[in-house]
Amino acid sequence: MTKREVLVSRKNVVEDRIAICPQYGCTHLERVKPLKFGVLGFRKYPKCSKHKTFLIFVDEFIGGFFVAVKACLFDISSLPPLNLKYLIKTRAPEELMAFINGWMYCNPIGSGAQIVSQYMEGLSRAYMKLLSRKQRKALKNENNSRKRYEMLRLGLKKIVDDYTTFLQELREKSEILYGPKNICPLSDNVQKILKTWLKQHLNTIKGAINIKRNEFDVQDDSLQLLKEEYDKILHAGTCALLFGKKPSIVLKSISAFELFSAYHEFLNAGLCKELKGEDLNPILENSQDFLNINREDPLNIQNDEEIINLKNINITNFRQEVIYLLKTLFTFINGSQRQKNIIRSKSIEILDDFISRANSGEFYIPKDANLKVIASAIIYTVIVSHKNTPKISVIQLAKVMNIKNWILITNYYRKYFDRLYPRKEFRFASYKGFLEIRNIISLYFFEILRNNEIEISDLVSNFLLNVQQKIKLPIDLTYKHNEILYEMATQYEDTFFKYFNDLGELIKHLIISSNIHKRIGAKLMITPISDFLNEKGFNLFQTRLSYISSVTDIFDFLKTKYPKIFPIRFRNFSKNRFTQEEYKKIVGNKLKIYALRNIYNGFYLKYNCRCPQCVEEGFEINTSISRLSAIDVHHQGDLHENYYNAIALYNLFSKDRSNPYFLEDLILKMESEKVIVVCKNHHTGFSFKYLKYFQYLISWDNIYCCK
Amino acid sequence: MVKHNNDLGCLYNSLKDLSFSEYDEDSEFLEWYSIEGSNRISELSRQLRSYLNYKNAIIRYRFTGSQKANNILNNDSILKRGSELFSEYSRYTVLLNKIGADEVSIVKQILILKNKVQIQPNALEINLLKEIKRIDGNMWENLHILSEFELHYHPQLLHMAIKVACILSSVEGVFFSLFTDFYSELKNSYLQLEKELSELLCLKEDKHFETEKNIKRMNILE
Repeated sequence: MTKREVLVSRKNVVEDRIAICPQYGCTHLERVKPLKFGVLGFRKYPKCSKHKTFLIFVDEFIGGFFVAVKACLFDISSLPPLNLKYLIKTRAPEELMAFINGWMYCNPIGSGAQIVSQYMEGLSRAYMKLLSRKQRKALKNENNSRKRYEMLRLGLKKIVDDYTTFLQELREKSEILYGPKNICPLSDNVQKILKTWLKQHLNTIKGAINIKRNEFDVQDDSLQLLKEEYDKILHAGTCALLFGKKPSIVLKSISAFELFSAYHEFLNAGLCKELKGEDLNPILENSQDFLNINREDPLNIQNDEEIINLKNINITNFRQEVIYLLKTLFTFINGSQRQKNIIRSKSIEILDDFISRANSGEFYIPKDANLKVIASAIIYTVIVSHKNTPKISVIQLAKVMNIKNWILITNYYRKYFDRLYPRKEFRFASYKGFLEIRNIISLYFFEILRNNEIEISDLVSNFLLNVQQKIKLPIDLTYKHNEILYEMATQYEDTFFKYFNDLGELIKHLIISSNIHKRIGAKLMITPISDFLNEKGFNLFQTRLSYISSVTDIFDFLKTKYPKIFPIRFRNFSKNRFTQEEYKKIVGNKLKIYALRNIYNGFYLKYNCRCPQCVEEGFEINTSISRLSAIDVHHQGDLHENYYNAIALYNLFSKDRSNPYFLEDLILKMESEKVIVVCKNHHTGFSFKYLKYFQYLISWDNIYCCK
Repeated sequence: MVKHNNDLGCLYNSLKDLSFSEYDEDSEFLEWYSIEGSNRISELSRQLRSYLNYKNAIIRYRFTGSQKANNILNNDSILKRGSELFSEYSRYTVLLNKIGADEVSIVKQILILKNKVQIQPNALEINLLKEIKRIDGNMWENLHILSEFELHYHPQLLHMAIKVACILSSVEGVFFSLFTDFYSELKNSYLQLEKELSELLCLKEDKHFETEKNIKRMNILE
């Protein structure tokens, strides 16, 4: 394909011809006249005034230009890139042939064939305008006998022929390189693969563009690197077309003369090789073979040359080695067959993606990379990023693979996989300072809820909106806190809502319980209230004990801020301190005292909470409030719903913790049941049916006196 | 473009530009040629661009999932140009009928007419030839403009444009002998596109029909 143009020499020119600067994009054109008598005259070898290069004849230059265009559009490098082909091969093997066909079909247009015309148009116009009137006149006359315009006419004809040949080759190549009947639309899965690949590929190109062009020397190996950069851009254009997008990267970011002059250079340096139909055959045959083998097991380890030669991975047989380690890990995973299959297929998918990313230059895998950590990180990625996978802790993985520090696995996940495969669940522990956030938001919720009756769901919805818009947030939150909350609100919206809804409910219940405990004068125990909320599903994504601990922390934090609002907290119920049963009795009795003091507008206060019957009968039995268990509540009316001893009262309270008006409701209820306060002695008398019904038959003497 | 004139002398002059004969003495013609000739060469790159644009549109049509054309850029312009092309093509067909040509024999009939005018010029036939050339130019203009739009959202219009381009390519070669090979090749390329698009349209229509059928079935089930 390599061809050199003849430099313009006025000695050899027999008639006027148009010459051009061979520099692509240079507009220097001039009419070259023959020397008088073949020897006299200046500028025997005309040069471009700007580039100081010898001129060449336009018709030959245009021919050369088309050669460069063909070198660009039908170079061997226009085959699908290895890493993309590999991705399709592993993830959608049944569509590999369709993909290759589609790729070759899109290639000329995706590689920017359209921009050829822009450059050619400018060139042709300039050429025509430079002709003299006589020359133009002569050109139109095909039967002109005067030979002095022969070269010009032939030049013009050559331009037209070059166009014709180009069109012809474009059509013929399309018939050779792909079978139009074999082109079929690609599935959503393949399109997704293509989109992901293109995104990464464009990032790579962007990174490469930032490197200054002049870093590339004129040496052949640098030219090779430069060609690879251009090939990447053309691949991006072709890939975009494969899912129906414009090849904008080629059309907008490169000018025609830049693209084709580059390929002209590559062609001259022998870096281009014309793509022929035969070049496609081995790929298609290999695809068919692969298809036959790979249908059975995606874990088939094969000696694929392409894989061994992957760039940026300095480990021989990297894929095979990692797959071997993955297989070892699979044997330790417990779970259903379906779960195991998910882990197997997803881990291979992640590994292949990892390889393709390395191959595209995103990162480099050194020779001493720890393959055990890589394999464990891949499994860990599958587990944390997919649903329906068995629970395996990172510590277990480290143990199985004999990795000393499990943090290596999580660090690897964070470095290479976190972005592409985020955790399906928000992991609170991995965010340092989340406890601070929790406490600040607790305080924020408390300050809103203490004076307002607002639905927790509304409160959390507003808060979510504020976090997403980064407005009206508590001033105590730092920038880092806000970023964590924003990430949580945008990427894990459900988790965000549930977590802060749980927190809101907790704060609400703490306020209610604290208020009641304060009023009855009891200390507050965290465990019962935590259990109550836990049963209702408000658990901050924690286990029972962790939740109790969190509630305790929040309570203590709020108490430090508002010591007067919150009651004293019962400390841990160890042997030396209170048990939960004791707490129940205390709260129950406190409730009883509260009721005795407040029932019937404090009627029993005038008896000093003693039994009115005893007072009336003149007994001196001590049934004052200090002997609380001797005081009973007797139902006078027919309505007899509850007992009101200490335990019963505690149970009533325990069931109705969400009610901020529990005490008021209790008094109303007791009054509606027409209860009276009596001592146990009198209460037994009220309740002793036989004595009540047969008191006329049974005499006291018979009961108390013995014969 | 040369103005319409009933004067036979002027018509004769107009005819000359159709045939690339020798006009050594006519300075006015040379002046025109310096512009038109340049345009003719530029037209080659324009033709190449339009062809590649249409090829691009077919590729995008093939690989684009949804075909909703309501919100696309310049939709009104596309429809306007499309209708213009259609009306020009209707007029063109009427003219071709007048000279007794159909899509197959069009080149042959125009060549006969051209030879007839050169040997024995008459106003009616010269005007006919000029009108064909004028509409031909207008249609190319519309085709070039249409090719720059996102025509893959209008597959039927795309199909019509390519069909018209096929016919015009064969006629263009008759008018400009220097470019005969080019236009003949262009015609072949457009024929290839036309075949591809026809198959693609059938395929997509079948698919659409299948989908509709499934939706109907689902409705019945509901």
